Amino acid sequence: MSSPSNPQLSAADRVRADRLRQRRREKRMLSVMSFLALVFVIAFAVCLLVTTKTISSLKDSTAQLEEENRQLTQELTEAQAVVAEAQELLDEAAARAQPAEDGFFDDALFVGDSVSYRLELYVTQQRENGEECLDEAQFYTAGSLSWSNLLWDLDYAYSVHPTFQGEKMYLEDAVEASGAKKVYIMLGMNGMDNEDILADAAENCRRILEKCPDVEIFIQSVTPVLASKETSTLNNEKIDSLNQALKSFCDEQGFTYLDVASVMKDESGALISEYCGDPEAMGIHFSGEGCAAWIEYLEQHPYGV
Amino acid sequence: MIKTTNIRRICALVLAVGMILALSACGGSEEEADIDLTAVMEELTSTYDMPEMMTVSSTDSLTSFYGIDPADVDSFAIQICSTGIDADEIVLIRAVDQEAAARIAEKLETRYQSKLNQMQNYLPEQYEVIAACAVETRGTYVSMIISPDAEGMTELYHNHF
Repeated sequence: MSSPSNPQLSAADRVRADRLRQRRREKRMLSVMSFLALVFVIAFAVCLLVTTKTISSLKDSTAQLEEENRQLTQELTEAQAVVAEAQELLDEAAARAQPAEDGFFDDALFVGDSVSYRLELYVTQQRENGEECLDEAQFYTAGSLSWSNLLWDLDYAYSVHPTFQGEKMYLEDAVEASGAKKVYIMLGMNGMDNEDILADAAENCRRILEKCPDVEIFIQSVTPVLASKETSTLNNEKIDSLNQALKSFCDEQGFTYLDVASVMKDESGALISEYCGDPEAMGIHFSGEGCAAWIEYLEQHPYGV
Repeated sequence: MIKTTNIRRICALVLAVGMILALSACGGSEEEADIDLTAVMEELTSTYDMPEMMTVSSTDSLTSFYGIDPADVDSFAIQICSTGIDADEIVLIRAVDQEAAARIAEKLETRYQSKLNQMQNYLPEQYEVIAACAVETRGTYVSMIISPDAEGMTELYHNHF
């Protein structure tokens, strides 16, 4: 064992000993350095691995987020479309709840029996007097008209098809000839006991829409009869029952139901006496006051709401 | 013999001239009367009791009720029962010419038949009223008088010719 303080060692030995120590130090240093380098490399590799995994994970997350974002955007777009559609429906409903604007009935054709013929006469009289009445609405009416006899052949000897502008024609032809886009039908008073009344109504409406697909059909409720003129075949209970069926029919078919009868009834459900123009006869036709109430209802409730 | 032939020829000539003059005179007497239809209608409504009637005076109504082309019409007077129950309807029209009168008569005939059919199984008493009436053409005048008093009304109307 050499020691700097050992006086027995020669200078050369001390030099060798120094070198030896130096080499040992260098070796230790190298070992330490190598170890550190190895540690660094491992650490770097670990870091690299972690980073790669993190990046990969981030990439996955980003893709997932992007997908979620895309789905959310799509859902948002769909939700916005639904909201817009709902708003449109609300606006439409609000507009339908508004009174009819001027010219609303310009493209209307009124179809009906003697009750509607009375309305035609009233409207004509108003127009003859210079009054505006149901805009430019046209009429296709005839006494005794019903859902079923509208389906008869035109050349049948007992045909009661109304004339339109001087020519006897089928309902669907009258709708086409009139150029109407709104068809208001009030039928049912005649043939009330017809078991096929709704089937006949459906067939008439089908024929209209087949010929004129862009027409909107409005079914008006059958109006009440004067209490003193009710009979076993024609009474307000039967009329109410038919109107319920007509309302359901409209709901099923997508037609607009207009409850004209609602403004024609007194507290007992019969025709308001002031609205009756034939109290001594049938008790179903309207006075001028009754016609005015009918028109007022149509103008205030163009879509029945 | 020659003289006799000449006399016969002269007689035939005179006769022919006389016939021509007579015919032309007859033609002159058939010249159509100029009837004020509104005045006739007033006379009818004041003479006979009618249900609640409305006056139709616009050409739009001529088209919508009867499909009559206003260009075919010289003048007209129309009253329609406004209750929608009674069949009463008085239509007096003067057409612009004979062809127009024929077209108008055709339209009124359609209206007449339509009213008749409507009432047949609906209001029999009104059907009887309509069935006793008719569409009539006299020169350029066309009429459709539907009323329980149609006979008397038609006579009154005829008195103006």
